Parts: sequence; C-alpha cells; structure tokens
Amino acid sequence: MKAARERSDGAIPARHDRPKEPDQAEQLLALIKARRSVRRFTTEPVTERQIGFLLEAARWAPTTFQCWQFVVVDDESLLAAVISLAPGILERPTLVIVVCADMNVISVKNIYPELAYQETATATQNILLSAAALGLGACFIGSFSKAGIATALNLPPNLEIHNLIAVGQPAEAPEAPLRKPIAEIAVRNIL
Amino acid sequence: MSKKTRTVEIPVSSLEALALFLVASAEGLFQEPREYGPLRLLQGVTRVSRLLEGRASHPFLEAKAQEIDENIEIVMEDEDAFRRFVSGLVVDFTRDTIQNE
Repeated sequence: MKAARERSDGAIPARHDRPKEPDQAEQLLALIKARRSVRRFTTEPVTERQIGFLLEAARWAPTTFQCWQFVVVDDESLLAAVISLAPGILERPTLVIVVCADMNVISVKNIYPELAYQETATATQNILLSAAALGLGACFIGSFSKAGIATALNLPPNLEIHNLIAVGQPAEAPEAPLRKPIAEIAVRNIL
Repeated sequence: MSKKTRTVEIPVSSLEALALFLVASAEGLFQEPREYGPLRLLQGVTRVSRLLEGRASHPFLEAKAQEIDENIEIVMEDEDAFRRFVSGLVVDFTRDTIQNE
C-alpha cells in the first residue's frame, strides 16, 4: 500500500491512495458528536495559527466553484459593530468569520444560486468542526443584518453574506442536545 | 440619593451600539420565529445592564441580567417555560420599580 503523500499544493491524495486507518472514522464521529454551539467566550486570544487552521479547513471543504469568501473580523471597532448588528451573538467573541458567497462566480458560470449556499455551508461545517478540534468555542450565527454588516465591512455588492461564525476561547461547555433517532430521520430507498 | 434620581454618564458610542442592536433586531424579526421578539427585548435588558457596569451599581438589574443570560436559551427548547420566565421577570421588575418609588 502506498504511503500517504502530500502534494506540493498541500493537498492530501485521494482516499484510495492512503493507508486505511479505521480509528480515524471513530475519531471523526467522536469530534462531530463532541462539537457544541458555544456562545460564551473568555477574553483569551485566538492565535494566528488557529485562525489559519480554520481558514485552511474551510478552503478544503467540498466544492465545485470555490465561490466563497471569508472575512475575519477582529478589529476592535469593526467587531463591536458586527456584534451590534448580529442579535444572534449573545456574548462578545474574539473574532467573527463572515462567510460570504461571491455571486459574480454564480452569474458568470450560470450556476443555480442554491449552489452558493451549499458551498458556504460545507465550508462553515469544516470551520466549526476544526474549531472544536482546536479546543475553541464557535457558533453558527443566523440572526444578523446582511445590509448592516455589508455596510460596516464595506463589502462589494457581489459578496452575499450567508452566515457568521463567532469564535473564541470557550467559557462554557454546553450539554449535548437531543437528536432524533436515525429511524425517524432516514429511510432506505423509499419513504 | 435614590435610584431614580441617580445619574450616570454613558458614552454616546455605547448608546449608538445599543440603538444599532435594536434596529438590526427589528429588521431580523420580520423573518425570524415569533418568539425571537421577546428574546431580543430581553437581550436589550442585558445590554442596558452592561451599560451600567462600572458606572453605577444596580444589584437588581445585574442579577436579572445574569438570570436572563442563564435562561435565554430556553426560547429554543420550551416556549411555555420561556413565557413563564418572561412573566416572572415582569413581576420582579414591577416589584423592584414600586419599591424604589
């Protein structure tokens, strides 16, 4: 079996080229289950390395057109404005990642616009899972003013904000919420 | 000096931030779940309490803001419990207001 290789662009070879590591699947599922929406943060900083890790994870999300754009907001006054414009943020995080879709890509490639949401969603999930893996707290924020934040950050009209991710060092460890059983949410072949 | 006649100096930027939160909430509430209306108003209460931090001691408001923070997520889980929580707050705030008169 071939050893795992890293290409010069940082890409990992496809699965069939990699050694099988059965524990990886269990570790991934454990991470997925351990992730929580953390809404309260300490004032301890998030390191540049951690921010880079989150963006690297976002970059490698499943995608066709990479029509995403991420704006990391950690400037004191801009962060304060974003927090005021996002009622879904309960407590001040260290930074907010504004996840946008570049609608120019969508129109130039004549793609159905829902694809942009799919791409930013996969990237968002990667960021949230990576934050959990790094021991950071993070929360997907859906309540915010698109127009207000676009104005505050001087975003061009082609960037459509899809969601925000509040990130910081966690000040809480929320309990796991209930999940519907698989039998209730999944069928095989036909409903 | 009674609580009612005390004055505090609050930076205009802090009041602007509160106003921004209120208008952003108003915009969002057109499309958000109905119960987010009371939720946003309670968040407004906690923001008012934070404005007083370090400027004026108001133990009642601080305690209630903390209680709101600790219970605010009930809105996602149990609407009836959230309603009871809000009604309890009204009673508590009313009593505090009357006592201070």
